Amino acid sequence: MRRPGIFLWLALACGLVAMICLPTVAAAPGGGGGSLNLIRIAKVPAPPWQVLTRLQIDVRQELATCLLALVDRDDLDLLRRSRVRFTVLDRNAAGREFVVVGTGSPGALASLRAAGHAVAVEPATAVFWTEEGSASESIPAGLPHKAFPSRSVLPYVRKRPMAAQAPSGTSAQDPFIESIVSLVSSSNLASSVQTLQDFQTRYASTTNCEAAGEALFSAFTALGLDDVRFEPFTFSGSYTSRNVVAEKTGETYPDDVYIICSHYDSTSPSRLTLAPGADDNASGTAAVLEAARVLAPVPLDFTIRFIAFSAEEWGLLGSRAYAAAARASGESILGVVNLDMIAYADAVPEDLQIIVNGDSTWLGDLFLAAGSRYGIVGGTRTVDPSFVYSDHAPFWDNGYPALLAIEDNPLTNPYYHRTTDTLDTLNLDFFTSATRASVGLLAELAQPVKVGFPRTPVGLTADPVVYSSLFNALETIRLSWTAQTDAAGYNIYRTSSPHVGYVKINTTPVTGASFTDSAVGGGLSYYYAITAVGPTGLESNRSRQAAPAATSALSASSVRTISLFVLRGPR
Amino acid sequence: MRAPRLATGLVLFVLGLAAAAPAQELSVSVGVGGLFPPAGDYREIYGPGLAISGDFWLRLRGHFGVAAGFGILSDKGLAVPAGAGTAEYPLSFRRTSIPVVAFYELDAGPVDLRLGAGAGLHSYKETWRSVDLSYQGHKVSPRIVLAASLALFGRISLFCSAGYDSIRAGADSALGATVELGGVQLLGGLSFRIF
Repeated sequence: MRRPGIFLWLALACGLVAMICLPTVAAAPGGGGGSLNLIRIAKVPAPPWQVLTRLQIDVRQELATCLLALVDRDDLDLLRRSRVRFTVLDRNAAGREFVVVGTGSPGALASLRAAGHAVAVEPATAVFWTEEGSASESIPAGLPHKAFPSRSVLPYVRKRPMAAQAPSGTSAQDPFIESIVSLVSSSNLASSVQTLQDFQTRYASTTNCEAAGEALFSAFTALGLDDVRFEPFTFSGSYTSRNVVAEKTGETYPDDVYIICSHYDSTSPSRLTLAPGADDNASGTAAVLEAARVLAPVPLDFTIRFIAFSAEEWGLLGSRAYAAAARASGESILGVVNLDMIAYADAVPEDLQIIVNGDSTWLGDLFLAAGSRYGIVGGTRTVDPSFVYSDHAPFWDNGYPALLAIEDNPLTNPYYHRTTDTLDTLNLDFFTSATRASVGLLAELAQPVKVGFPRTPVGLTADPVVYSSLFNALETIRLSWTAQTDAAGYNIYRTSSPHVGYVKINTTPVTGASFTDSAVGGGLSYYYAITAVGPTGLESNRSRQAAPAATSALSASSVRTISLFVLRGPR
Repeated sequence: MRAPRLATGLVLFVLGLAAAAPAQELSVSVGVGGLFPPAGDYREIYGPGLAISGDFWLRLRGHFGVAAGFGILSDKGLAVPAGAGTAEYPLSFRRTSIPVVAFYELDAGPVDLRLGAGAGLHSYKETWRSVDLSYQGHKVSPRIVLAASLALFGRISLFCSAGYDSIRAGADSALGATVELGGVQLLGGLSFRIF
C-alpha cells in the first residue's frame, strides 16, 4: 500500500524539476535566457562568421573593426565557449534605443558622455544610449549618428572578401549618355537649392519640413514621372514625416531598380527655426531633382527611383524605414547612389569621396569611371563600413549595394549644421560636375533603350552544372535566356566581380538560347550578362546581370570531384 | 607502355613454362566480342564496349593448365551532368588487360571446356575528347573464365569464352568507391593448337 505514495512523491518531484528547468531549456539558443546585453565583437584578426551564423547572433551594426550585437545570457555563454572575443558594453539593453555616433571631431566623445552613456567602439565611433527618453534626440547637435536597425544585419554582412577587382572604366563615353548629362544645368541646381533653403528650416517634425516635402512632390510630379508618392513613417514616438518617392519605370526590367537618393531634411543649432541646409543636403536633393528632370523623358531598360528622404538628421530614420520595407517586400534594388553634401569645395579643383562597403565596391568604381567620363570630377573610393552616417547605411543593413557621394571625409565645410549653410557658400562648378557624374552613372546603369537595336535580352539564368566521367569532373555554368526574334545571335559576357570587368567569352555570336561555360571553377563566383546581336551586327544593351553562379555553392560530392579535377587532371 | 612489355613478359614466361614443364598441349586463341558492364556508372556513361583478346592456353599434366594473354577494351560515351545540363562532353575509355588464370579442362567429345580462375592486370585511360582532361590508372582484379573450343579441322578450332572481371575503381573514381570497370566479357573467335 505504500508504493502508490512513493510514486506520487516522485511524480511531484519530477514535475517540480521540470517546471524549474524547462523554461531555461526552451530559451537556450538565442532565445531570451536572461537580460539583454549589448556587446562588441572584434572582427580582427578574423571575424567569427561561422559561430555567429550558427548561433544566429543578433548583429545590429557592422563597423570596420567590430560588430555590435544584442545577446542574452545564454548567447554570452555560447560565445564564450566558442572562444569569440567580445566585450559587454551594456548589460541592460532590453528596450533601449542605441545609436552609433561619429566622434571624430574634437570634444565629441566628451559632449556625448555629458548627454548619456557613450562607449567608444572604434577610434572615431561610439555607441550611445540614454536611461530614459530618445537617444537620437539627446545627441548633441552636429554629431553624425545612425540608429540601430530594427533587426539583425548578419544575413547581409559580407563574410568573404570579394574576388580581386577587375579593371573598370575601360568602356568609352557613350554619346547618347553624354547628351543626357550635358542637360544638367547649374542654374537649375542653384535654383533648387535656393527653393529648399527658403523654407528656413527643414528639420523633420517641423511643418516647414513637411512643406518642403510637398514642394518636392510637386516638382517630381511636374516632370511627368511614372509614379510619384509620399511614403509616411512615424518616428521618435509621435512624430511623422514623409519620404518623397518618384519613379521612372524601366521598359525591360521594370522590377529591377536603381535608386538615386538624398535627404531633404536639415538641422542646425536653431533647427526648429533656421536650418537652411544648402550643402547638407539641399545640394544632394537638387541633384536628385535634376537627375529626374534629365532622365524623365528617356526610355530606360531598368527602373530608376528618385527618393528624397526625411529625418536623416534624426538618425537616418526615413531611409531606415524605406530600406527595411523594401527588404521585407523582397524588392530587387540593384544599387543605391546616395548624394549627401556634394557642393562645398574646400579646394579647387574639388573631388568627391565615394564611400562603399565590401558589397558595393563595384558601384563605387563605376561612379568614379562615370565621373571621369561625364562629370570631369575626380574622386576617391573608400571601403569603410564604419561610415554609417547617411542614407546609404540602412541599405547596407538590408543587403543592398549602396554608395555615398560626399565632398569630403572628414568634412571640411565650416558651415556644416549651422545657420550659415547657405547657397552662397557653395561651388556651383563642383556641384554641377558631381551631379553630372551621378546622372552619367545612373544612365549607364539603367541603360537608355537604343532605337533600331535589338531588344535587351531577358530571362538570363546561370546555374552551375557538374559533368562527371568515371575519373574526372568538369565544373560548368549553364546559361539560359529567353529567345527573341530580333536577335541573330547573342554575346556572352563574364566577370568574377559584379558589374565590372566584363569580358566577352564567345568568339562568334551564340545561336539558340543557352550556353555552357566550362572555363570556370576554383570556388569563385561568376557573373554573366548577355547581349543580343541583330542581323546587321548591331548589339543590344546588356541584360540584367544573372544572379552569381557560385562554384562553391555546389554539393559536397561535387566539390569533391572538383578537387579531384584540380589535383589530377589534366594529365 | 608498361602493359605491352608486361604482356610480352608474361607470354615469354608461359612459353618458357611450356618448354620447361611437362606440357601436353599449347594453343593460342584470338577472340572479338563485347564487354557487358553491370548496371551502374560505367554502364550509364559508356554502355557495352568492344573487346579484343588473345590468349595462350598451356595444358600441363592431367587436366590442369595455365593461360595468359592480352586484351583490349575500347568504349565511347558522354559525361553525365548533375542537374539540368544540356551540353555534351564526349569521352573515350580504353582498357588493356593481361589476364593470367589457372584452368581445368574437360574433354567432352569434340568440345574442350575450360573453367579457370586467376587475376588480371588492367591498365586504363579515360579521355575527355573536347576538354583537356584525362585520367589513367592500373588495377589488379580477380577473374573467372569459361572457355570452349570445337575442333574444326586440323589444328584449328572454333573458340568462345565468357569471362568476368571485377575491377573496382575505388577511391580513384570521381563518382564513388563502387564504380565497377569490369563486367561480363563474351568473345568468339578461333583457336590454333601449336602442339
